[in-house]
Amino acid sequence: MNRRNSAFPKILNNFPDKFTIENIPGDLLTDPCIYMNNAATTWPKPPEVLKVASFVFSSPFYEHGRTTVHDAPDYIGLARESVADFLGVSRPEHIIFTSGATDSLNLLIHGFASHVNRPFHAITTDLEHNSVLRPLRTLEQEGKCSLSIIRTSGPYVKPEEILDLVRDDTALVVIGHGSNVLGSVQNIEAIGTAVQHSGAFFLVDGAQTTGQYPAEPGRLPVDAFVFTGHKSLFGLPGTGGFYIKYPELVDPIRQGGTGVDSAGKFQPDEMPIKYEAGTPNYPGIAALGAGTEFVRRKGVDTILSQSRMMTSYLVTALGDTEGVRLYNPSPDLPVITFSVDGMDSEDIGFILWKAYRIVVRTGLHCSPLVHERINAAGGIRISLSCMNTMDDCENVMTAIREIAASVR
Amino acid sequence: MQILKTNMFKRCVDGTVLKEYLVDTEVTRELVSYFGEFGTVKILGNLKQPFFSFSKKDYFNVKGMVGDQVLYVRYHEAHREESFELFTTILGQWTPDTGTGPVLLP
Repeated sequence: MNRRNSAFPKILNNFPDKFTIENIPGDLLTDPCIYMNNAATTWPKPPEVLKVASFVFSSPFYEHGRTTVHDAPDYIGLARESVADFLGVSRPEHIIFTSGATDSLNLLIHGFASHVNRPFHAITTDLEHNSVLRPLRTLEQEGKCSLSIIRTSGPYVKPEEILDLVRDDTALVVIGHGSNVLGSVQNIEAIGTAVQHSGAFFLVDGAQTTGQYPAEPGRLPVDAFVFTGHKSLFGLPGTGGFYIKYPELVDPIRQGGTGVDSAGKFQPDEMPIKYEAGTPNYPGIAALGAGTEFVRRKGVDTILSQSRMMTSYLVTALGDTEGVRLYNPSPDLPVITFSVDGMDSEDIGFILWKAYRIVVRTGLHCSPLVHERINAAGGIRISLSCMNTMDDCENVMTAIREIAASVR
Repeated sequence: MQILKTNMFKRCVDGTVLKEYLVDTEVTRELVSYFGEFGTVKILGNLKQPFFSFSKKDYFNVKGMVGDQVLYVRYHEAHREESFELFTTILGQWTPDTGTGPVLLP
């Protein structure tokens, strides 16, 4: 088995009493693993990301506007420019940093509802994550919107399925660019064009695609596009953001310090501080900028081509394994969800970790509605990043074949 | 078998509680067979490290790996306190010499 990843603390077996690395015996810090849970959070992070994060953590706080240190690098400004360029956005101030995709979706959905300020109709799909479904359902419960959820029959949403549901009061359409369960990528250009004709605000959740699938929302018919830092942009958890084309359509639902215009009584309308109240996650955003640059240097097309090769191998090998059921045999992203006949998915994940040191994810993956169609009990999800190798994939298949054979 | 340490690592919305126990000896196939006297046992013995699960309906589900010293237990809400006591008693009465002989339960 490939043992290249060599810094994973075996904390669960070690029952540490305190949050101190010193309490963890050295040999437990060097037990390697194969990590295939990248749709949740990518690991390992590129050295340049860790280097920038470590540098910022080790330095006195110097975010521009909140310190007298003026000669330090403006990592937030640099990260904003980097992400804007990466997403094809010509105005970097229209990139907003948040604590992640969930935070972004909440800000946009609730901020849009606040701006509309009357009950409206919204459309989404059963492929979505709870970070889309729960804010929309909360609005629905509060009487601020009525919600239509497209029940898909396959991995894709067709533009006409959305148009069929559009009513006179339809004001918002929220679609995930990539499914975190089926690995399918929606054609947001076609969907966006259709939605534009309806006049609704088109919000795209790009949490699963940004960094590993080509997308330049700044050049597409989308009104807002959400990204996260800790997945395929290789940043740290607790970072992310969104691009917004027309800020006048979404109210800021947070107010607070901005580091500038402190005498103003209300949240400034200026971008990006309209949406960025409070001290930012400076080390995290600096690392997100470094991660974006890492992806840009490597090239999304190269990353996609590499992941397609590994995904194709895994999908074929899993399809050939007796007892294995794939939920989508042709994923666009390196996200492969399956189950093994006669075995609980949670138990498979447990065995993969305990016996093979392979990290995957099991369960509903925070996307409950799609599981009502494919498997109510939840599946096993393998998700790759460009840090994985074919060796990793072969080792995973060896383990899954052994497990599937042992059930028969 | 003695529990050296307990971690409660999750309380689920359905009321179940997940605990992990560090025990003083390794799990053996004999222990798994002994568990079979009290509920349903499943073992995948052909893996390089065998997996087992042990469930007592409405009370608890246990899983772990043979050769390991950690047991993962999901206690159901309905009889939670009773389930704690039942499982720890089952565990406490086991010694490698116990075999699968009769034991007294609360």
